[in-house]
Order: sequence, then C-alpha cells, then structure tokens
Amino acid sequence: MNMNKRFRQLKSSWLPAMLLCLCTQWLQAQQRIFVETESFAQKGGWVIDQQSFPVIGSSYLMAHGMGRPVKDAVTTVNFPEKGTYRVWVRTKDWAPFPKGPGKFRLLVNDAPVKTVFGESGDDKWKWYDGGEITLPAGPAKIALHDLTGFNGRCDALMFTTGKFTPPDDIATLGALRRELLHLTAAPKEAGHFDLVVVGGGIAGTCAAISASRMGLKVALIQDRPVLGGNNSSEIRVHLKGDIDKNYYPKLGRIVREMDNGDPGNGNPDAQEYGDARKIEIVKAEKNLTLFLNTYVFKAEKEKDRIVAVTGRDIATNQETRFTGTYFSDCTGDGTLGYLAGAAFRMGRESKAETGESLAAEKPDSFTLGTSNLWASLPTDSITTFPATPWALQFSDEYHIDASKADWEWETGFGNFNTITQAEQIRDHNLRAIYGNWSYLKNSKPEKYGKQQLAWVAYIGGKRESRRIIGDHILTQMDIQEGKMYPDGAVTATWTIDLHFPDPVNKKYFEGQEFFAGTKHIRVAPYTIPYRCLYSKNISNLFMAGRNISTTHVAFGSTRVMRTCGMMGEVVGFAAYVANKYHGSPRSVYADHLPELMDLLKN
Amino acid sequence: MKYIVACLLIWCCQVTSGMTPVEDTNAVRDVLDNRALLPVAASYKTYRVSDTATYELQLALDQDNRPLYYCRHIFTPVCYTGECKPVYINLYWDLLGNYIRYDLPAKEVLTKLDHREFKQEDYEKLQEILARPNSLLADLAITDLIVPGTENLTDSVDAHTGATLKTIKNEVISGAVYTCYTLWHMAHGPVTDEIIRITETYINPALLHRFLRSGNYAYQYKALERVMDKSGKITPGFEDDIRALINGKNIFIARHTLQQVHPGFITGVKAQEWLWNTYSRSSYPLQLTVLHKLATVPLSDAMAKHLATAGAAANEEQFRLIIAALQATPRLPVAVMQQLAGQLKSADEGKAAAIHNLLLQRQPVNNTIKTMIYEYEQTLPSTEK
Repeated sequence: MNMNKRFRQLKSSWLPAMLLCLCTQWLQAQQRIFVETESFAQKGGWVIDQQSFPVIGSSYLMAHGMGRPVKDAVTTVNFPEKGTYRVWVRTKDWAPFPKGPGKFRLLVNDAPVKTVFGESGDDKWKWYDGGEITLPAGPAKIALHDLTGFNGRCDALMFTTGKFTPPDDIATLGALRRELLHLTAAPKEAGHFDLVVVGGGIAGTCAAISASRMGLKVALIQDRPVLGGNNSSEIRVHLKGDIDKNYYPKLGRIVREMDNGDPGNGNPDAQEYGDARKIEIVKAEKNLTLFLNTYVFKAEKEKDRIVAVTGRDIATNQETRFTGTYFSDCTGDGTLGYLAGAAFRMGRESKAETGESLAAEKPDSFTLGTSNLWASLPTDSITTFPATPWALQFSDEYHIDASKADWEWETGFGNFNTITQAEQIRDHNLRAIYGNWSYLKNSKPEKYGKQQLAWVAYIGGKRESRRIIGDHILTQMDIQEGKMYPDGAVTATWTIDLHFPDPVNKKYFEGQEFFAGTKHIRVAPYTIPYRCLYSKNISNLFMAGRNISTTHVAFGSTRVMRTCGMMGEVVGFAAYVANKYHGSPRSVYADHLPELMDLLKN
Repeated sequence: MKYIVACLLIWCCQVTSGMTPVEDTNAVRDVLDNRALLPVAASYKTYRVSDTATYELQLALDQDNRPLYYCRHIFTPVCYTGECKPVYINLYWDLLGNYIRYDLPAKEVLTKLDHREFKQEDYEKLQEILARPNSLLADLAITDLIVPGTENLTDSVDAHTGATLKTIKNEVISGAVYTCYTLWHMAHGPVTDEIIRITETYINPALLHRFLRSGNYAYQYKALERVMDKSGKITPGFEDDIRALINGKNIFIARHTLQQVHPGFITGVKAQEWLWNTYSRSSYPLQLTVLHKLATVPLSDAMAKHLATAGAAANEEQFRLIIAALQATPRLPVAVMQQLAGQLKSADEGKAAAIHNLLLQRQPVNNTIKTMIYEYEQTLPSTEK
C-alpha cells in the first residue's frame, strides 16, 4: 500500500484531528530521493534509451556492451540527513527465458547493495527493493555496475526512509516523478517559431532547412543526440529512392546535402553516416534553432490548431515549451499528430476499402518490422562469445551464416505494436542477434573465431507506425497509374516494397520471426500530391516522412529516406507560402497552389 | 545443334585422352581444400542418369558396401555467340541429393568469358552459389538473366526476379554468369531425384540407424519419416535413436520429434524419468515443448512432483504450462497437492491464484491442504475469496 493511499485512509477515518496533524508532520519528515539514471553525471559505458518514453514516461540507462561489461555509470546524490535509507531500483529482466542476462549491481560509496538486479525473470518494469543502507548526511557516490554487457537497464533509483513503496502504476509514478524531480514548475520557454518541426530524421531535417532558407524562423526538435534518424550512425540504414528523376528537379537539393555517400546498411564504420556533418549543415542555418535530445510528449491546442508543444530533455529531464504558427510532424511515429488528435491509421486496409490489388483481404494491425542492424569485424586473434541460453537458439539446421546484418534482420510483423512494444521489438532483435552470433562463434570457430561484434544498434530502425490522414490518401492506383495531380510534388521511384516474414525463418520461429523477405513491385516514377503532406483535421499540421497520408500499400513505396527528405523540402516551401498569406496548409492547396508549384519549379 | 556438336567434341576428347577417375584424389584439383567434407570411399558404383546420356553418376561406398555419397564428373559446354568453351568439374552430393561440394579434374581451371582464370575468391563464391538450394537462379531462364552471347546481366533481370540488382549480383560471379547458372542447375537438377531413388534401394534398418545417429539433420528427418508413423508411433528398435534426437544438439529436430512423437512414448514412470532428465538439461524453447507435451499424457507421481517443485522458480510461461499439465493429468498425489498448497504463501500473486484455482478443482480432502487453502484465502481481499 503506498503512502498516499495510507494517508487517504487516515483522513477518512474518525481519528481526532490532532492525530491527523501529527501523522502529516511525520510524513513530511520522511525522505524520498528520486534519481533518474539518465541524469547521472557520468554515463560510463551505459547509453540513454528514450524509445519507451510513450510507454513508461521516461528514458532509462542501458548497459549495451555486446556481451562485454560496460564501464560504471556514476553520479553523486546529496542525502539531506544522516539515516538509514531503503534503496529502490526500477528495472526489469528484459529476457526472462527463463532468466535474462542483464545483471547489474548498484554501488553506494563503492559498496554494492545486497541485491543483484535484472535477473528476476519478470519483464515488467518494477521497483525492486535493494535493502537498507545507512549513510551520513551529505554527498554519496552512486554507481550502476554492469555485470554482463548484455543490456541490463535501470530507469530510476529511490532512497526512502519510513514505510514507503514506490508505485509501479505509470500514472501514479509519473506524478511522483514530476513532484520529486520538481517538474511541476512551468517549462522553459524556447520562444515562438514560424514552423516547429518535430523529428530530426531525414524528412524533418530537410523540412527545417527548407523552411529556414525561405526565411521562416524554425525550431527543429530531435529526441536523439544525432540527426538523420534511420540514416544516422545509431541505426545505419542507407538512403534510397532516386532524386535524379524528379518532375521538379529543384527538389532533392537538401537531400543531396544530407547524403554522406552510400555505405550500405549496417556499415561497421559510424563515420560513414556523417552525423557531425548533418548537424553542421543545420547549425549553419541562421533562421534555424536545433534542439537535440528533446522528446516531445505534449501538445497544446486551441480549437483545431496546435499552439505549442513541450519536450523533455532525455538526459536532464528539463522541459521546454515551443510555441509556433505551423508544426510539422516528422517523427515517423506520428507522435505529434497523435498528441494533437490528428486522424491517423495504423496497419493494413482491406481490398474492399481501398480497391488495391496488393491490400490485405481484411484490415488488420500488420506493420512492417523494425531492424536493429549489426556488424562484426575481423580480429588478429581468436575471440570468445558466451553461450546465450536466454536468446533465440540456433543449430546447424538453421542459423544465419553472416558476419553482418542487412535489412532482412527485422522484427514486428503485426505480432508486436511498433510504438507501444518498441522495447520488446528491439529486445527480440537483440535475442536473435546475440543468439545467432553465439552459435556462429561457438559452433563455427573456423569461420568466426577471429571475428568480433563491432556494433549492434540499440536504437531500432523503425519502418512503419502511424500514418496521419491528409486531404488525399495516396494509393497503389495513384502509384501504378502514375496519376499526375495538380499538386503532384515529390517524385518517388522506389518499388512497392512490403516486407513479410521470410518463409524459412517463419518455419523455425513462427510468431517470433526476425528475418524478412520482400517482393519488389516495380513502379515508374510517380508524384506524391501535396495534399498527402498535411493533416485533414489539425489545421496547422504538416507531415513529412513515413507518417504521411498514404495507404499501407502506397507507404511501401513512399517510405524510403530520399523520398521522405523531398517531402520535407516541400513542407518547407509550403510553410513559407502559408505563412506569407497567414493561411493554413490546406489554403496553400486551395488558394495558392500555383505559387507553391512555382517555387518547386523555379 | 551447336550444343550437340560441342558435347560430341568434348566427349571425343574424353574418350581419346581417357578421363582420370575422380576417386584418385591425386587426380583432382581440390580448389577449396574441403575434401574433408567427404568420408573415405572404398569403391564406386556407377549409374547412368536419365537426364543425359553423357554423364554417369557414381555412388561412393565404404568397405562394407554401404553408401556414402554421390559424385559426377561433368564436362559441359558453355556457349556464347560463335564460341563454346568446355567446363570440367566434379560435383558431389549426399545420399539425399543435397549438394555438398565441387572440385576440378587435375590441371583443369574455371575461366570467365574473357578467358581469365577464376581467382580463389571466385572459386569460393561458386561454392557458396552452388550450396544455396533456394537460389534465385532456380526460377530464371538464362535469357531472363543475361543478354544472349554475353555475360552481362539483362536490364530487366530485377523485374524478372523481383529482387534487387545487388541481390542478383550476389547469386552469380561477374563474367561467369552463364557458368554459375549452368552448374547450379546441374547441382540442383533432376539428378537429385535420381539420387533419392537410388538411395531408397539401399534403405534398411541399419542405414536408418546410421541416418538417425549421423548428426546430419537431412538424414535424420529422412529416417524419421520411415521410423515414425502418422500417429507418432515408433518402429520397435528405434526408441533409443529417437531419445537421442530429442536429447541432441539440434533444437529444431529435437522439438519436431518431441512434438510429433506419440504420447505413449512419454507415458509411464521410466519414460517420464527420462523426459524429466531431458527437461533439466534442455534449452528454454525445448523445455516449453516438453511442458506442452506433458499436458497430453497422465503424469507419473514423480513427474507431478518435479513439476510442482519447478513451478516455484519458473517464469510466467513455464509456470502457465506446468499448471496446464498438472490440471490435465487425471490424478494428483496428495503429496503433490500439499507441496503446491505450501507454495500459496510464498508465491507471487499470479502464481498463488493459479495454484489456488488448481487445488479447488481437485477438491482435496486432506485437512492440512484444506487448512493451507483456507489460510491463503484469508489473505485475499473479500471479493476474491
């Protein structure tokens, strides 16, 4: 029973008022120290993971060492008074099959508390009792000490006195976080922008640059420390879709600037993806302000308009509010549209609904999967890799005989929700990668003995989630018939590329597939209408990227990053036109289309 | 016509020069240094294959005349406009027609269109290509793949296959596309059916035992088809082989065998003693298969006790299956029910509720058990009692 509940019961009892008063004073004397691990002063080898923010309301630290224990994450916590504190650790066993490998210890002033965390066999995020410690008043050194390098994770710590059990319920815990982290005060104001772009993947970055070069004051908000999204060194997917077949050749120029050459998928050299160069390009724009490491979790509206969004720093938890005239949802997940109540669709439509020959017979929640790419490199001497009984198991009959990943390493074909189960999808990918690698290292030493994992993505490369509905929904027929609408803007060239579980992988891992197949349906270059790039019911919301207004089938072609980048460029031009006439994205189509198209042409 | 003439020419060359038999290891060029993939043969038996009269198929036998593998000495023309070149190569298959490896007759090399010899990486890539039974090459006509008279991939090759150009390039060797195509179709063509047909004539209990104990999953699946009937019943005499498969390293065939085997195979005290030992040393996925299977048979007292004990440390999925197996068994010993009742106090909320539910269904008359159930129920909120 938590303290608030206990307190409420006392209040409703017939106890004299004086006793209640004494109780209240006793409660106030209790200590509750809340420490977010992502705010640790030194992260050591631990990494910040914000991918589960929509589910658990926080980022967390993870020991992503590819099987080699990572350096301690260390911080200092100030204890206001001497006393005996109960230690609480919010964590989970991420691979309880039956017990996971993510073991770690908590060190207080270099001494471990009694419990080893991360091996409970329970994959739900929970508070675990770490026992009691006695500390003097003043600063204490707190460290997370990884034991395996296999993705142990810790969301937060609490040090409490008195009888108190921290709540596991997300809403109650959220309120407690806010209270104890002092997040109840007004967020920092970032100012007013003509265009607020949420999401710094290729689409969002191109949108922000395009608008800023048209003279708009732009904020670009990205929830990671790097730009480029799936094309960043955190995910390492190469850019696809042509920019040399454009109906309007002016489009694609910013995409070309973002393009760092083609290192393929999952190249072991992070430099190949040009993170720093992308940031430099953005920072060189005088009208553009970049906000990295900021996860947007809240939207404020007036009628059908978004007036402001609030983001939280994924490390410090500082909240920042951005007001704007126009907003662009380039999050991929359609996060902003979702927060603002934009109409959206997730999963597959039926043939009956869309008339598409490639549509499903019945509507369902099937989405393309998420990739966690990986690569190994040769070493001079033989290296070892441990057995991974908690991972997927392989044998000579079936394993993936490869020293690096390509796009086929993919999980989440409708059996996981790509937003609410993003953590499970990533973890399933890790179980496939580590299980297969363990098999290769230990059963094929002649081929893999002198090969070592060099990089495994811990940020998932997501392909599909929400699609926000616009004034036009692009279909397979639009693509295959090459319909040229008056507002046809972005030229797309990629095949209709809808992945499905590889049949052999499905045979061995039914319901747990992690390897994909595809059938490329070739298309002639076609144009995506501008009306797919703004929300039909949020009057100042643009979209660019995979979350634009298409059917699932059409999305199979529009989703590649060069094409998404050009959508961003169009959004930048359209925001300029809208701003010039104080109109809406829709009014650009209805009243000023010739001007927009003229911008694309000239 | 040109093809026939080329074949004849090559055949004449063979006859006049006298082909060195492949079984003489000194006479082959082991370009991949992988001859160890083949067991040592004592003799060879020759079969004429119906797909073409030119070639013979040889079955390698050990000293007891038991079949080991098949091989074939290929000499085929690869023709372009105005020019044919002979390709000499030896292909090897296992007893079920699965391609194993290749080597070359002594002094022979493989060349590309421009007569440059294969480099070592080309030889290795050819092995990778030939070893891929699901190659894109399977469904392609040669005219879909290359421009006639050249080694260049056609412009529309990706349209024919639905694959990207990168994937297709991975399936062939640049400058030797036709060679790859021709050899892949020889390695995976009608000869494989012929091999299976010949091997069938050798199948007897001894060979089936050998297959099951071979560690070669293709042989094991083949033998399983013969020793396990549709209901999962095992031919007498093969029980130890089946148990060895389930206890073996290959999780997939272990799981398949356990799923398919008749419940009778795991019924009884002794069988379940073996199965519990298997469970204890199995990987997690096989443990789940064991637990699923146990729900189909009456549990021995010992097995019920093992499961009741294991439940305490099991994860959610294991525990769910353990309870399902205990629920499905017709009789639960009092000692097991008492053991379960003892866990009501210490188990987490979900597990305790499941145990409670199980015990209520069994309506135990033992007073100790009834007391433990009662005490547990007193800890529940009033609506859940």
